[in-house]
Amino acid sequence: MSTENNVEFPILKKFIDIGNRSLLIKGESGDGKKTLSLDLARNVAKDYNIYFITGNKKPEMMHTWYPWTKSFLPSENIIQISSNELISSDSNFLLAEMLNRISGTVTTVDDPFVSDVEPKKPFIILDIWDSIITEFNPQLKMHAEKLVTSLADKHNGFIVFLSDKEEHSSLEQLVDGVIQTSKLYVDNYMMREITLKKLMGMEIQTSKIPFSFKNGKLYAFSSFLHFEEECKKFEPVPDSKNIFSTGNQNFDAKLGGGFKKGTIIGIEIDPDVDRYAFVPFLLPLVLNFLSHDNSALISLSSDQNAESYLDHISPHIDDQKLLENLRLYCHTFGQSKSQVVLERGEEQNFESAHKKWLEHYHQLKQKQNSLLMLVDYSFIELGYRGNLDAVLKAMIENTRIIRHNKDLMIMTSRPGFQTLGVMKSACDIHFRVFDHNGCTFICTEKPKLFCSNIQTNSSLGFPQLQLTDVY
Amino acid sequence: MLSPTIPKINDRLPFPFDIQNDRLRFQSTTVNSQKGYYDLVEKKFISAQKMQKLIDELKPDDSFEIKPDDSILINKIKKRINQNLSFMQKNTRDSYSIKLLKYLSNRFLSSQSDQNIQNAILFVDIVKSTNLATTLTPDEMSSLIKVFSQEISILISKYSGFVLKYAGDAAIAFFPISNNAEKICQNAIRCAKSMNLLIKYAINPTLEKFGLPEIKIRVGVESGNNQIVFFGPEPDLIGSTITMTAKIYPLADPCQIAIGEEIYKKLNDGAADHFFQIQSDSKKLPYTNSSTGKEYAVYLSKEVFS
Repeated sequence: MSTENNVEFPILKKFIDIGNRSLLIKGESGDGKKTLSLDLARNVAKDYNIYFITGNKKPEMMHTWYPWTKSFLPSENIIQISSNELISSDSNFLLAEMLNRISGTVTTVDDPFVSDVEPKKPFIILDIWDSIITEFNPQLKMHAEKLVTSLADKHNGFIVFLSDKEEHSSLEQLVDGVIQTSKLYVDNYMMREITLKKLMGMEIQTSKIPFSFKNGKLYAFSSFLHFEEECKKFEPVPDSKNIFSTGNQNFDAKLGGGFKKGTIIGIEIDPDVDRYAFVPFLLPLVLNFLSHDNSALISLSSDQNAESYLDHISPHIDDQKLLENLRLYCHTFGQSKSQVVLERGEEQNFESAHKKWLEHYHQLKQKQNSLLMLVDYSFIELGYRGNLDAVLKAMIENTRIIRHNKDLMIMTSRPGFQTLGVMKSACDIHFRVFDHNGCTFICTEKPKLFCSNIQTNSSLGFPQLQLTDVY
Repeated sequence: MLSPTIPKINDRLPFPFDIQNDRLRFQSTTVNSQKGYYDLVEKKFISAQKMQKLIDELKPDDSFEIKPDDSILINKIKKRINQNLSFMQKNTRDSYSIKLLKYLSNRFLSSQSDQNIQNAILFVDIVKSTNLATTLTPDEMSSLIKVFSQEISILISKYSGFVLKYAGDAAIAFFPISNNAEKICQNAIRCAKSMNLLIKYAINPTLEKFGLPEIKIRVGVESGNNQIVFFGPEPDLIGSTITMTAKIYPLADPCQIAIGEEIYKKLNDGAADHFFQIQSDSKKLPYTNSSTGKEYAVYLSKEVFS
């Protein structure tokens, strides 16, 4: 999981550490090339002197836009070739000027008789390459590319070329690494990703890495991590008069306080998503209900085991609250002795199964408290294919009861199931959970609120949802 | 030809000090408006002015000698040692001068690859360095060895010699014999004497300032033929002279010089008078000289520089 001081792209740091000398970062304007190059520089600043050669960033503006670069990129290392020079000078002059600036970064022998303190190598980000080579013919361009890449080797340093241009065949062959930053849109939400095209000496296992920005810095998304820490009791978050907390203050803030009472939440989950992605999302919500002496009635999927489900919940809450407030409706084939588990039985007829379900609901409601209803309808649909109309009708009936009693209902379904269509129509908030390049994301389809990467935060001793927005 | 824009390094300097002709390692260039040389191996720029000064400090000088009353020279050396010892706690590398001297030595040997050359060989090591290693911190020990290695390397160069290799607290040097064997052999012995004076008048007083213990050295010198060979990329010397010198130098007491019979024969009477032959059976070498068939004679300096 990423933290403030983490190396966001370990593969790129390793690529530099093993002795490679040059990297081309391609991408359109606004795709994050500069931020990525500066983040790489931050990671290697211990061994390198960082230089940023630019045509349009005044040193003071660089530090305003990227305040976190102040610690490793001093003003004097931001070398500006002014826009006047860029307009009025020919490319040969600019190249010579730039080479001189780079040569100026050479380590010099100060006192030949005094022990040498380990020098820092130059790490040069060229944000001006496109402007320089724009007027060069192919031969001159190749010559210039060779000249600059050989400089990196000569000075034991590392050069990063930033380019908006798509076509760079000769430079791509010369440099040790080529990566591309790009944007794509998922349901109107902008996703950023880095494509690793060539990294000499590295094994590229995942060629596309999704990323975003956090506090102006680059943030690489990683694959979903399961909860692994020592278990501690859940710390409840108070509900307000009309709103149920999600059990996570940050998630509440994103939703404008939490879920309004009487709300129907629909979660559409793509088939390739890790099912444990539900744990940091739903477990705090269930625990928060139980902690406030509200009830939770959960219809488990037919492939879920009631005992292992309880194993996830029970370490984080008192047994008494669990026994009184939680009911799991599922097939146990008579195996479970827990009072919490309600045997669904071998009902072939959905109507009678639904009738039993409502009985359990009303039983829990006798306490006059609020209730959380949680149903995975794609599994219900699978189990009662012959009674699909009844299943769809029951979905509507459940939503009506929940709204009337100002409870909360979470229903889930998957693409390809008819229950998904009803869920989309009936719910007030429609979440979609999907996988993108090995990372799990959640977005709100209705209304459009946010799109975030899902991660488990285990620091409190119980699973917490950690959301990082994509933008 | 050297680029006309670069100031010339003294063009009378003999190989291998004529670095301006060494295009494989030094590239004439200008950095920050300063003309000089880019060292392609060290990946560093050295201005022509500094390079000139450096070469002047290192180039052989027939009149060079360390004299106890030469306060200008001694203070200059002390200042250099002082600066290097100030870096004691830092992660430092060898100075540029020591790297250049090693390179000049390799450059010389590589130019005569696979030849059998006549040399005076000098071995020097710090007496009881194991005791030092156990009492000093690794930083202190490495600073001490670096200072010692640098200063004796400069001395060796001033006496027309080259450092062949460093081995911890010891160094092996060679003094190529061209046409004047007597002069080169005397140079090697003068160098050995200067090493002892360097320790006594420059290194030890500065070590004391830094709270470090004083050091003493033992030096052995012999002359003869050696074969230049390459073990890997680095040139090396092998032969009986090197082997005999390694046997000779432990016979010297601390601050004393031991020489073999081959170099002794090449000394003039005045120089030879400073040595006496080891007579004690316990100190004699159990070897015979293959050219004379007699037992190998070793001589010790009458003067002990403690």
